[in-house]
Amino acid sequence: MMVSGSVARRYAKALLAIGAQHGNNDALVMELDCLAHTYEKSPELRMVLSNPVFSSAQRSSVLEELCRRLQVSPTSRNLARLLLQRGRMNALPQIARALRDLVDEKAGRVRARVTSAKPLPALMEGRIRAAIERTTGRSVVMEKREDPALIAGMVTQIGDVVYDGSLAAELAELRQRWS
Amino acid sequence: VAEQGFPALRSGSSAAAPPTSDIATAPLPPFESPESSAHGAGHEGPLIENWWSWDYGPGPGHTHRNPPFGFALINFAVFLLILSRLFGQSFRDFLRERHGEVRRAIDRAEEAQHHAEKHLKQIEDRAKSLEAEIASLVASYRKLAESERQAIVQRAEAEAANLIKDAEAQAQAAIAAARRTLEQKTALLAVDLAEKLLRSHLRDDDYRRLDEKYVTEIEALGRTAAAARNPTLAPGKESPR
Repeated sequence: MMVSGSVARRYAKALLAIGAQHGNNDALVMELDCLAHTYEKSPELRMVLSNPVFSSAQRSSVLEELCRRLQVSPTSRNLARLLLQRGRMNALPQIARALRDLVDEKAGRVRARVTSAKPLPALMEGRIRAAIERTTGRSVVMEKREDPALIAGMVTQIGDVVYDGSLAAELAELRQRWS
Repeated sequence: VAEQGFPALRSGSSAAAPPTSDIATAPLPPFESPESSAHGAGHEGPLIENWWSWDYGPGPGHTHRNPPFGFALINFAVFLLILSRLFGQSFRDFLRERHGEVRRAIDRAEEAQHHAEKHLKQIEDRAKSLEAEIASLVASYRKLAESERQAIVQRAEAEAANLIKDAEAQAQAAIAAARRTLEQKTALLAVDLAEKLLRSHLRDDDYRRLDEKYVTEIEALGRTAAAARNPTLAPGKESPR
């Protein structure tokens, strides 16, 4: 079942309000990121939590065990339970991203994902961070990734904007031009 | 009458003959009555031997064998007079009408004859000019056929030229398409080869140079955005992935 972005944003706003009350928005973001990452990376977990062959008690016990092992807060645990009860576990990654965006926006931060073909030197990372801060006027949270498919160069994604300076993109553009 | 040589009646005696007996004086072939012929006697006498006498009969006691011819004539004249009195006007009318009809018929016949002669003359004239007309028709049809033949030849030549032009255009298009396909495949193969070469031959200096170029461009974007007091990131190249 697809979940619209507006639904995920409503959940995220509720979590943001709860986190503001407890002053643990960043922790909530990390916990939900962790939960969403685990949910996205494990097909078995998605199958168990969404398959009606398993009883709700069995699914709840699996989710409780997962939350226990990930040591998430009661707020994140309650959110997971609520999503399970309403059959909206597949909205968890979207909710996590929406909450992260809301928290970053509230904190005046911008999140930049920098993907490089080789490990990014510290000097380069600092220059990129400074350039993005100068561009956006906000502090930057950088997420670094390595992807050999880029061949060489880097890709920076800030929100919906992507600045692609990789050789793979250049070659893909050449292929597209000739196909 | 006798002078004109016509046959004339002859009476038995010239003394007793009326003025009309001059007719009888003309020489005529001898008259033979049936009886005389039957008797075989060669009796010769006037054709009208009794004009006014009522003494007649077949026996020898009569002076004449035949009834009086003069009274018979008077009788006939009276008969004609009666007929004329009774039917004369209608007969004249009939004759007049008949005369008119015959005249009209004759007129119509003459008119028809005149028309037929005129038509005949026209036909004869036309027959005379028929050969010339046939020759003219043949000449005109020949001219028409010649012009049609030339038009057909021109159309055929034009169609042939168009076909040749289309064929050349199609050949050019096919050559251009083949050339494009060849260029495309060559270019894609070149890109694939370039990717393989890049993957195998890139050195650390190359990575650093590319990273430096990229960071320089990001910094230029940052400076531009800061100068424009625009908090958003200027759009760069969109990722094709």
